Amino acid sequence: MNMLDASNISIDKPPHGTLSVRINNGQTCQDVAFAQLFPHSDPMRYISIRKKQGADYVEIGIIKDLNALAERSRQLILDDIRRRYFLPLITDINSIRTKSGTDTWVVETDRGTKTFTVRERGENVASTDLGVVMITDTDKCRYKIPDSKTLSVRSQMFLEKVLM
Amino acid sequence: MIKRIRQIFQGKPAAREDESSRVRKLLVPHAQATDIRFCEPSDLTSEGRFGEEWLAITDTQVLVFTVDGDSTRFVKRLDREAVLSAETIMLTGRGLLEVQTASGGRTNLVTFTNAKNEQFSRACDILKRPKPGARPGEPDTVEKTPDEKEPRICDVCKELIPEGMDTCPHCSHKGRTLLRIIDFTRPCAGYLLLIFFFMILSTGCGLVTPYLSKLFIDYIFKPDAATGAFPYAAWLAPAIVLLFCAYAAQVFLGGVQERFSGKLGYTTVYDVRKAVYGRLQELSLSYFDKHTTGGLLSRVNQDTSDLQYFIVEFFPTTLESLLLLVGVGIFLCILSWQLTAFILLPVLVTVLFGRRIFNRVGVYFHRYFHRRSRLSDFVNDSLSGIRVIKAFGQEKQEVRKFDARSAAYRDAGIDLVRKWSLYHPLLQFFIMAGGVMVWAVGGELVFLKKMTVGSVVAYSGYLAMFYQPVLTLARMVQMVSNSLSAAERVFAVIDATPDVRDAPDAIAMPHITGDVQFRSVTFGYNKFKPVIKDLDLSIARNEKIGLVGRSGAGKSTIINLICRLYDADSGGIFVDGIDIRKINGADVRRQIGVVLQETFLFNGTIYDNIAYAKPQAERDDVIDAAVAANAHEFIVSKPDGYDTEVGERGVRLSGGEKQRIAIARAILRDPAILILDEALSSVDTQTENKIQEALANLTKNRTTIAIAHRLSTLRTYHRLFVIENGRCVESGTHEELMDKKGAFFDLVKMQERLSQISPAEGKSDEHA
Repeated sequence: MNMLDASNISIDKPPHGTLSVRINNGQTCQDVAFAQLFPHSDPMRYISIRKKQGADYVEIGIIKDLNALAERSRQLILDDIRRRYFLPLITDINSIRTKSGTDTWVVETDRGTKTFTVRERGENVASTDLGVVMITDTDKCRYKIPDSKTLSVRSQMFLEKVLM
Repeated sequence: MIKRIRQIFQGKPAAREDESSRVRKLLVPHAQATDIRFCEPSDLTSEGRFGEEWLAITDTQVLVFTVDGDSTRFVKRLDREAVLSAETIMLTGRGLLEVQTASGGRTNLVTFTNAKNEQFSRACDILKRPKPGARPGEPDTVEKTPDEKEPRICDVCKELIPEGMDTCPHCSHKGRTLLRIIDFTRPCAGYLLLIFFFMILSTGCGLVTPYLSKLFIDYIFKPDAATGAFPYAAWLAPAIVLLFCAYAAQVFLGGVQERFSGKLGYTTVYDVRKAVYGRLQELSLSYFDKHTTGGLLSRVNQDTSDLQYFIVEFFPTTLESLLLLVGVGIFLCILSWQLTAFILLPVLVTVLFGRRIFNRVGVYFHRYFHRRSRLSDFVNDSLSGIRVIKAFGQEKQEVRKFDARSAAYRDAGIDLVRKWSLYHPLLQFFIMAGGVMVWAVGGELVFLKKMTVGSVVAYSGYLAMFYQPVLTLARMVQMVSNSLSAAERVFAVIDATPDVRDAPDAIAMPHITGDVQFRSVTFGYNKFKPVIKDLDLSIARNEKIGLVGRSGAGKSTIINLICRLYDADSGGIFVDGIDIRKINGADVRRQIGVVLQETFLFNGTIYDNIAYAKPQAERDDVIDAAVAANAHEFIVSKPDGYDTEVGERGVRLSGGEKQRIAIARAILRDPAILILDEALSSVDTQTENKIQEALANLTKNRTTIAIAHRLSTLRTYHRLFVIENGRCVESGTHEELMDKKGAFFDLVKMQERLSQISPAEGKSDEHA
């Protein structure tokens, strides 16, 4: 594991190019991507820097804490992660209609309003003790409720009906 | 409210096909309609929010635009000439379609969620193809591959039917489902009549009893106003007998009816379950890829038992309630229509209130059961891992976790009881209030001489009987609907059609010689992600072939295709020169023997497991096969010999033992084509030698196709194919490939480096 010192890392992106990283004022690495090691439990820390090699990405190192980076670098990384890791966060549930074992959800997310259908909720709606709920719809798209306890009472009522 | 209505409409765009052709027309000022090769909306905007951005590809341009009513706004416009290459990039949860342009930059055209993968891979293919012009004006339908599945749209609601579903989930056909259930009861149609007959009798007897109380009060116990004597006293004895008989008949006839409905329900559901399981075994593997084992398990177990509950419990109860409702209603009106008109009001309030609280309390019940099952899941999980808990000394933490879930369960129970203890007395109160009202209004009517005292008593008796069916029916609507949903899911399995099917003119081939050819085969488990790309292979009879390559290169997929667990998307696989799709599927599989890395043994004896390949085999044949597989010795040394129980999934045997039983199974089958998929997985060196010997016996005189991780085990094979990224990049003997110093050489070198790191691995390699 190559833990990198955040103060020596700078990220750059030319207007029409890909992300590049420069470590310890050394050589610049083109075509890099970023991935969270703990996307749910610790999203701002432990970020893997990955360099493109053929069709795959290979890890160069790990940034322990994003907050230790310069503002611009941090923003570029977060943008890249947001682009790469598409997981709408549900902020409100407008309705859940059930018919023939298929639930049709109408929700507000951080990426806009969405209607989707869920089948076999026993497998596709998973909740943890911490109140995180992960939902997988019939198109295999995933949605996350970061904390079901902070949803509106109405949303919680809808949710209670479909939690198995 | 308006917001909700709009959302519902947004969720149901009427006729998507029309939408697409409408947008095509909007594009006409910018492109000729016949030039448009592709025109589809994505479901994400370039900022990554939900929304639509359209992509159109014409012969000269690539357009990205938004549609607002009848106007279009262009986001990106590229010359088709300037697009050098295109690529779909699959990220987590969504994909991008990127193009490389002549000016040197990369441009992201559209982003889309998984739901649109297939459409935009098609767009990517179109962009990658040679520039048009040679054939202008052709209809764009030629761009679709002929076997591409059209998205299906529901006839009723015009909504897209999710892939893998056979009927539209939004428009369920409850009536039709009910008819199908009744159709399943046809073999016991006589019982249906009997049930109905006894139900009418029993309900009728129940209806008589309150009326008898009227007779008692108004006639038998009524003294003559002049003499004070009881003129009808002699009627008491027959009336008592009648009352007794009515009660007895009601109870016992009800029992008989219950017995028949039980018989009907269990028999019917037995047939349904049989049909479901039979169909599951028939379906191709692709069906099991799309549906989780858990989901199918609940189809076979949970949903069929819901159906059973419906036929055994709900169906008779609903019928009985209906009969009671009509019967009691008639009696109420006969006794006093004025009183009935009065009493309708509290009855209506009670029913509405009852429905509402059942919905309310339903949520709390659901939460209560959910918390309970979470608690029991936790206990189950931690008790099965008790060794790990003890070994790591985590008892206290486990107790804390248990406590949290247990407290959640406790709170759900308290909440439930609190709501129930509020609503339930309220409901009772409404019912009582109705009863009191009978005496109030009925009493008035008695004074007015419009009703007798007996009638009022009978009336309150009937009223008490009236609430039960009304409340039951109000609740049944929901329950019947749930049961019918379960039935629909069950029927969906029965109606599913296997993807891999025998052609109607399939040829019987009882003796395959073992000649296999792949002719430009392309296949992917998801059509937009081909695993095998345009693959050509030719394997001669009795040839020993090795497939090598990194994991994920497509080796196992090639084998799945030969076994015809899946059908190729394009191109074809030919056995003895005949397309495998034209050969009787059972004939092909009977002549293919498979030894897999993960040996699956069924719960049973060793003998059963070897004979599984050929149930009609003689004991001699099974022993011969075991000897050839080098399994006989270890089997004999077991106390129970061939009758040794292997345990669930063969847990009581070691890895090497299981492997040799699997080889014996394949030898017994005597296949023309033998497939060894990593048959030499991690077993110790000595066992490996034994298995190698066994395999040498097995591969004599048959076409053998082997996948091996340890490349040195393939030295004796006639030819090796190196598979990379779904294509065959090299072929030849072990030596030829080593001399060539190509892809195979690299693989061997890499393995040697690895074996230097782990000496155990290197040792076993030498023995091989």
